[in-house]
Amino acid sequence: MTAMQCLPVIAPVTRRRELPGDLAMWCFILAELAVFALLLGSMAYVRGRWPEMFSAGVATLHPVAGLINTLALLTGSYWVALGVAAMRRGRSTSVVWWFRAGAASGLLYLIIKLLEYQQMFSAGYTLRTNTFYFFYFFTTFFHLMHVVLGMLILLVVASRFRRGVYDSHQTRQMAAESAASYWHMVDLVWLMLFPLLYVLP
Amino acid sequence: MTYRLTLTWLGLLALTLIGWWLGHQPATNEVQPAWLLWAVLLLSAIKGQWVIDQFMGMKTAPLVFRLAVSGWLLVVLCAIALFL
Repeated sequence: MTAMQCLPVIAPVTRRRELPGDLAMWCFILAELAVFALLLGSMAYVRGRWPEMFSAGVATLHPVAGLINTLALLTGSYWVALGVAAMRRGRSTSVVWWFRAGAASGLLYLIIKLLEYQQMFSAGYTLRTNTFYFFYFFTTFFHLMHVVLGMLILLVVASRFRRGVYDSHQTRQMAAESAASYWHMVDLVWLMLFPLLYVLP
Repeated sequence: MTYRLTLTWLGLLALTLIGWWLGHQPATNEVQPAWLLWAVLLLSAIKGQWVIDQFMGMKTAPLVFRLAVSGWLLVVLCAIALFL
């Protein structure tokens, strides 16, 4: 037997690419993204087709409200990502607090958005005012419903972490990553709505 | 990992503020320069990809899912750019 034959066989170390969260959650996320692509594409079309009407509509929105909402959702996403990092280190208590903080950022978004709606309704703007307001109210309200659902998912997962419902690292990982992926999707969609409605001149 | 997430978050906040500031520059002769519109879109693209890669963790996800989400971002940005 030669020296080479005595050496142990070492398999090359390759890092497996893993989906963050449950496959079913990802099917849901991709379906939601497809619907939002349609809505965002339609808004972009309206912007190009009737630029004067779109500009007049954008001028009635509150640009600072849009900015604060963006900062709130980005910060919420950061907190939720920190929650996932805490879960990987096995710190369940931290996951609870980071996910609750993420949901709180969603609550701030919700309050600002509702104040914005109230201001616009009292100024006489509704879905029926013109095509811009139809897309504005329809798309942002549809997105708002996703923020509310994301908050509920984060709070439910945080509560289950607090009660110790998840009995293995695998179930903890699946739950935390699924909830976080949904929340980041909501953030990603807003990052495309923000320039269309509040930034692009 | 926490350090990387914090850097991403600070970068996202900075790009958001820069984009917002660019978009609210006073227009000369009621027309905004084209580069300004493209700059806002570019900043949005960078922010979107950061969220996808760093927060969502798609950098280490199966390629087909990463391409699907990044492809979504590209399609939406192209739709906006098409009607600028």
